[in-house]
Amino acid sequence: MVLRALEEAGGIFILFFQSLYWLFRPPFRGTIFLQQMEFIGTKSSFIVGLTGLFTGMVFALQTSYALRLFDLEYMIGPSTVLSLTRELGPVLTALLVTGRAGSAMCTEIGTMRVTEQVDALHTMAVSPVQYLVVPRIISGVLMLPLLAALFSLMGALGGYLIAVFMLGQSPNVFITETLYSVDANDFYIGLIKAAVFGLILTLVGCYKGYRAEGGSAGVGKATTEAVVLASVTVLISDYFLTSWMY
Amino acid sequence: MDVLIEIRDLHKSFGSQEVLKGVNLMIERGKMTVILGVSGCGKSVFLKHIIGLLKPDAGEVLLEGEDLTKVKEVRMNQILKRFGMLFQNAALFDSMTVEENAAFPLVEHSKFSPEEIHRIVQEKLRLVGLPKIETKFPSELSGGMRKRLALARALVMDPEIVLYDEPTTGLDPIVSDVIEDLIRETQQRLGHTGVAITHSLKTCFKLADRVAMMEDGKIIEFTTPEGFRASTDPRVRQFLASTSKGPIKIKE
Ligand SMILES: Nc1ncnc2c1ncn2[C@@H]1O[C@H](COP(=O)(O)OP(=O)(O)O)[C@@H](O)[C@H]1O
Ligand SMILES: [Mg+2]
Repeated sequence: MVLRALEEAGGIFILFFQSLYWLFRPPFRGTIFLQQMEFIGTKSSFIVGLTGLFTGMVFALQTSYALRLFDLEYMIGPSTVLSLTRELGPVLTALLVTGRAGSAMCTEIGTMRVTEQVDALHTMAVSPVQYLVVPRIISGVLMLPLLAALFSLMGALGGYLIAVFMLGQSPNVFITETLYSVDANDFYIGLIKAAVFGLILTLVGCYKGYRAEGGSAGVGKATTEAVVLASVTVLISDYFLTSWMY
Repeated sequence: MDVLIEIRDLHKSFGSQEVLKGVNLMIERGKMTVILGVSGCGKSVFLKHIIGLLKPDAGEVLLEGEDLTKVKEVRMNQILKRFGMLFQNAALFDSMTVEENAAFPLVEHSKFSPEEIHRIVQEKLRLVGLPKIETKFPSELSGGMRKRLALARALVMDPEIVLYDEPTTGLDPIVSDVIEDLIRETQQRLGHTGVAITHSLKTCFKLADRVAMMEDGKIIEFTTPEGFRASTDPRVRQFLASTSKGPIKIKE
């Protein structure tokens, strides 16, 4: 068990360094990058935005119950938006994208592996890491911060709607209090986290697919493992990132 | 003898299972060498060592004196441009059309314009006898057509060396015969060096200039097709007689 976990961690690090190595070598394949950006970014934006909106609404509603006890209802805006930008935005976005794009990545590369398409790339003098893994990792690192920002933005909107239209708070209070307590730093921390999560979920998805074996059953197993491993790693690394960046 | 590739004492184990136990073989330039052996004897593993998909535990693969098991990845990618490979299950890219599949190595490595690439791909597709189906996807093709397309892709860069992994396995006897003719014809017309692995005697004798038999992780016979038929090795005799009675034991 422990040995296997160590081996896996080692394998993921090796894949990471191989990707770095191939990132800076020609040829650069623009279209593949754009395709992956679209797949991870554009096509995840609807579900991320929707989840963000409702998360913000639920969060505002929930905290309002507690804050009302202490007559601190003006804090609904700040507490909602802070939680969103620093924690909920990056983490929930990462979990959503893991389920949507990380799993699809693993299945695609895994299928290519078990049908020898990955080997075929190698024999045609095309590095499979450069061709398959690098564009996905880069897209993950670039797109996750944008998606997390979208999540937080929609969440803030959700919080605003609840505070103003359901709880009767004045729009002014929500906005000024929020702007007063949330600074750019909170926003940056969220973006950095999201980028790290983007790296983790694409790297794990690609690694598991790359190592898949044993036909379609093996690919299914690899995909399940990729989603579990990526989600758990995102949550654990969130803890460390939070404790380091305060 | 004009040797292009020399394999020296190749060993490979997976865990506790020793698959290659010291393989020695000379591949002659411009000839078709066929490696014959029962399923599971290690033929595919051996072929993957020639093209660097697997690294040996010990031994060398010398291409004109350069040991391919030790070269760096960037150098290997230069060397690989001299190779073409036909995979057992074709290994076509299923996200690409027929034309994109065949054009892939050219798009990646050549400086040709799209028009020139189109012309070369058309020529190769005609060479392997694929009718006008450029815009179809591999999943829409029959087994024989997939093999033809894979062959076109393997030949599109005019490689010096072509490796064939079980070129006829899984095809019906008639399509097999057509593919064998096609491989033999293209190899003689284009003059490349060929290495094919198969468990089929018929495929072997239709293609081979040289026959090597692999058994229990070693090459036990290496000769001409005539010499092979006349071999007195009991394991070769058993294979030629296609019987389960003899020194070759199948591990179930
Ligand atoms: N990647 C691998 N990992 C573990 N065992 C393998 C691997 N590839 C092949 N083998 C084992 O090596 C043996 C030879 O396989 P192979 O070369 O594919 O046989 P064949 O002669 O039919 O092509 C088989 O027993 C197979 O299970
Ligand atoms: Mg095989």
